[in-house]
Amino acid sequence: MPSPTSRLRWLRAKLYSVRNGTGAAILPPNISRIALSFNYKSNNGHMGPRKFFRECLPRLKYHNPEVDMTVLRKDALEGPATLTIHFTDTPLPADSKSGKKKQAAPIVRETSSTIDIDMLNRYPDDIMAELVEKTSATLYSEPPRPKELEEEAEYLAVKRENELKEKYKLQRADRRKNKDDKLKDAILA
Amino acid sequence: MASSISICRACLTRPSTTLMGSTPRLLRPTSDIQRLLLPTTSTVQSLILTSAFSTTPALPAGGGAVNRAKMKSSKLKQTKKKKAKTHFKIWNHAELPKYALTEAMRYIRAFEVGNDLRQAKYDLAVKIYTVKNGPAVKNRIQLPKAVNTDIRICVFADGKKAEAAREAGAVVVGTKDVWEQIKEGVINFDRVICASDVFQEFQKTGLGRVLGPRGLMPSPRTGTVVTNPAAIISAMIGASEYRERQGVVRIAIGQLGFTPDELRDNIKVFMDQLAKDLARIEDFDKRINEVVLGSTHSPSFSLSGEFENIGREEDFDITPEAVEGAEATEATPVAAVA
Repeated sequence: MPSPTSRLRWLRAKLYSVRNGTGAAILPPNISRIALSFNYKSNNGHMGPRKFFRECLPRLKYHNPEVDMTVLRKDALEGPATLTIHFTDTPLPADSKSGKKKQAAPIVRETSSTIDIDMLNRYPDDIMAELVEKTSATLYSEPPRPKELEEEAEYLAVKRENELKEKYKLQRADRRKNKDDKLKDAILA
Repeated sequence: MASSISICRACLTRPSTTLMGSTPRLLRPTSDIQRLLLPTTSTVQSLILTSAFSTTPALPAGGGAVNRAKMKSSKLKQTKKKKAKTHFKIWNHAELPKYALTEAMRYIRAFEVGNDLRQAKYDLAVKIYTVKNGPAVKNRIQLPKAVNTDIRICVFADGKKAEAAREAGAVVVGTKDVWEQIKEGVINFDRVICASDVFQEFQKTGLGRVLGPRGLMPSPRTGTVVTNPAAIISAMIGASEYRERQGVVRIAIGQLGFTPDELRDNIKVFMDQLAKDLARIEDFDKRINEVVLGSTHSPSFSLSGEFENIGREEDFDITPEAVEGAEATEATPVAAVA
């Protein structure tokens, strides 16, 4: 196992990026499922869907853990790339968050209507914008950091900068000295 | 507990840093006086002044370069003499953020989006404080909810036993119709169990020629001929092995589709058994240092031992009380070891 500190630094960045960015949106409660369907290969406009799946879908899933998200990928080189949104009438069970007496059969939320989004030849931002517009989702943005943390971060940044400055100064002096020595040697020889 | 070591380290480092930090501040007002006094007064006073703030002996003026060289050489000698480490390295992670189970699961589900819920597995790694060349933990466990359910089991039984077997998770159940199918060459299972009351009948069919080469032939010696097949099935499906490698025990603890409750029960049972395993090794000191939950395609999360976080949004806003309390609840098996 790597040391906890190195693991943590890497993890913190990862988690921040899964909470924020394009795709971080909270869907309304009447959406039960989001289904993607596109190809494995990125030929013929299937690159955008793949990017959407890799970048935006984890964020969407993080902010909507109750929503099912299925991905179907085909071996074909051509064909449609669609995103299907399933709406339901059955509301979520009220005590799903307390999670104490939920051992019984899982509730199947039947779809009452669906909306398709064509993902062919489009960028992930573009797809996401249409998704937000069609579902009237609310975009999520992280609350700003508290003042003390901000100050500390600033202080650390300045400190690091100064350290680097010192280091570079020494390096420069070293290089100059080497150059001078070489010149001297060349002249003497 | 395992963290006792790490806490000691922190205690050792702390006072020295605070002392070092305070020295320049204390010296500053007197420095001018010192500079004035230095040429006239003897070196004794300066010695006292410096020794008040540092434990290292003050160096006499002029001999600095020589002494430094000596120190360097002595340091080199020390490093050469250093013994090889006997234990696997452990770290102090007391002050680093930890995650409640549901929180970690939410992140993991987000990272695993679009993957097969049965194929992707939750994966538990338990870091252990242990010697490098001592005995290692190795055991088999029956989790409350089995992880590897891909094993397809065939049961030869009829009547009530057949029903019970089917409920327990057998794929193919029956007697004569199944044997005929096998004779035709339809074999879509990996294990065979036979009920003892049907066994004689089964032996007459002469299916040993078909099943024998595949290693499927049931026999009382291997424990696949039993009076109650249903009881064995769950043990066959659910058993998973684990062993210690490089000071870490890793095990697949659940499928991605498991609910938090199911996963919690699995983790609890596993940790209990692991604690017993560690306690069984008597001559060597083995302690649990850290418990980390990951999955097939996601980063790993150090677990705090809580089930749920209440009223906490940010991962860096963790309070020490919460962590300690959580450790106390989870550490019940650990405490038994230490």
